[in-house]
Amino acid sequence: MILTPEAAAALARIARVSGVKAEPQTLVPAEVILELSGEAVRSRLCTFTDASGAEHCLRPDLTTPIAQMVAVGEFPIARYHGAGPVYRLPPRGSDDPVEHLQIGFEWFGNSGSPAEDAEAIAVALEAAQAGGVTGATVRFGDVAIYHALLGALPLSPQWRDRLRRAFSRRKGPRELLDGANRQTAMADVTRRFGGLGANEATQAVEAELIAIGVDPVARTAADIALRLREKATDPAPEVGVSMVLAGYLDISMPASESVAALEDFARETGVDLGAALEGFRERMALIAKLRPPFWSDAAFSAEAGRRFEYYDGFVFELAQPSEADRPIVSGGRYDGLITRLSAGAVIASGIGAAIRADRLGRRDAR
Amino acid sequence: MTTLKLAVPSKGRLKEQNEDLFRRAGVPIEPLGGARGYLARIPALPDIEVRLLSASEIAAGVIAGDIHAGVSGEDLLREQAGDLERVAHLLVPLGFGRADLVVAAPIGWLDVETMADVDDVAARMEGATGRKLRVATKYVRSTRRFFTDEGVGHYRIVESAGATEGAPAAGVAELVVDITTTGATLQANGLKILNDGVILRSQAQLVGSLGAVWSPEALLALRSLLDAFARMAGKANETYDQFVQALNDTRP
Repeated sequence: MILTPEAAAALARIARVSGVKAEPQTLVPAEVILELSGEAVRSRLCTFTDASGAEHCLRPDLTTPIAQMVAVGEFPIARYHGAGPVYRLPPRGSDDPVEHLQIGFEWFGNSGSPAEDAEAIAVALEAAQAGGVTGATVRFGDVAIYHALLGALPLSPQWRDRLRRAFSRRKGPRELLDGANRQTAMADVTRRFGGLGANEATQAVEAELIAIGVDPVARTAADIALRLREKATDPAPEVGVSMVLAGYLDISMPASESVAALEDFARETGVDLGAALEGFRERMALIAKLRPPFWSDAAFSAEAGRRFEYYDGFVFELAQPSEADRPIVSGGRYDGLITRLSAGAVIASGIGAAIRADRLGRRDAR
Repeated sequence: MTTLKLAVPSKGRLKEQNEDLFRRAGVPIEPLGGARGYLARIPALPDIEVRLLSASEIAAGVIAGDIHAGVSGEDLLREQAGDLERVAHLLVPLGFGRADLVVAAPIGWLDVETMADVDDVAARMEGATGRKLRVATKYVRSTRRFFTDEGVGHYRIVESAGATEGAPAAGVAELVVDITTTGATLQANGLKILNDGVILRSQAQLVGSLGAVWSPEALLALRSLLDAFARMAGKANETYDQFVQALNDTRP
């Protein structure tokens, strides 16, 4: 593979601190990608089916196949870097190529830290600068603060889960909360079984299924009864709580003011963001000390990272101001990724960044 | 010489109902070249070349721009096109071939009435078993789009080739997305339609291709055909101007 001088310079900056070069396979089981990102991304994947019916997929990024090797124990928990083609079908109306060269790093470890966050973004931004990028701006956020906010607000466990899941979806937390106030009356069946104790409810559901002559298809009567009981006592978030959440998602400001803004938010709403805010504060101080390129104009956005399913902490993107939806660099923390891919067998923290080589270089040269 | 290529259903109820409608509009379709022919003509509109194709082939032909206009189901058009409005223009809803594209769940899932319930159950299933909820369907794109719009994740599509409604009983999926007219077949298979699970209320449509090459003569022939449908409905032909507008909007 021949790299352009810009791509080679970006890769060299990354390689200095990113352990061994990983050369993961090009072809991954579609299952792995779909279990991770869901059907919503499938229309962007290059998939095909073999004679036995198994579905394969050209890797849409380098993160997944490298993480997969770590999850199955093929690669040790360590720092990796890589460069190679990745494949994504462009959205309708876009002239993006299907295949493009990606340069990036994935650092796996025993525990992440604000210091590692700061080092990661500094390396990624320095690599972009080495690759000739000028005039681009950073947008960053922290999914862990959103999670901490959900944990601190008075929400039912079901609503907490729903709002957590909604963060990475097109129908996001705002839309979910808007719909919460338009909920219809409780169904008969919920009223009939929802007020019973656990055993009675399960027995009642079993009797009902026998009476209508159907089975619980892939579930159990106990599970159905449990959900009916939860639905009977699952209040929609109060208006005040919805307003606090919407207020948080609205936060968007220069990096230099973001710590104060989040502290103000916590004080004014009386919400304790605990260790998440502490980590944010520490990370911001450490990044300021490293003085990475592009950082002086960086902007915090509470909604940054919404397009990605697996980021669960610090997230960042570098893009030209006029092309915010075509990031040159995107990266972030994904401490839950290896756990998910290995079904809990391997625990590892992770942070990484990906650079699109075709978006490197000076803007006026493209 | 003919100038407008029009495709109409080649078999079954759709063929009968369509030919009946064209007859009532005063533009009856006559077969050409014997009983097994795939070509026909409309004596009242000699500039139209009529091809007999399956509803699915008609949808594909209109979307690709291989034919100027056709009669097909809105469900098929939307499924095959992705973003239908960019490639085709619905001209006249024809009032037959009615079917709803719906999401159905097992009747035994007493706690599941809405798409929001599906998301809750799917998330719980994945948490407990590590596997996603499986949805059997032939309507892959329509399903994906609807589930995304409704905020449902944690699912996998299982493409079904044959009788979709049997998938849950066969153990290959939990949910079904399929077309139904009365819901009776779904019910017979132990399935219920979710309260907010109607993806599309579909019927046969006369549809115009935005990607086909439209000569002035082809447009004139379309106008005559639309005039016939407008006369039957006792209305002015506004559809033609809307189509020309859509055509202009898609041209760079």
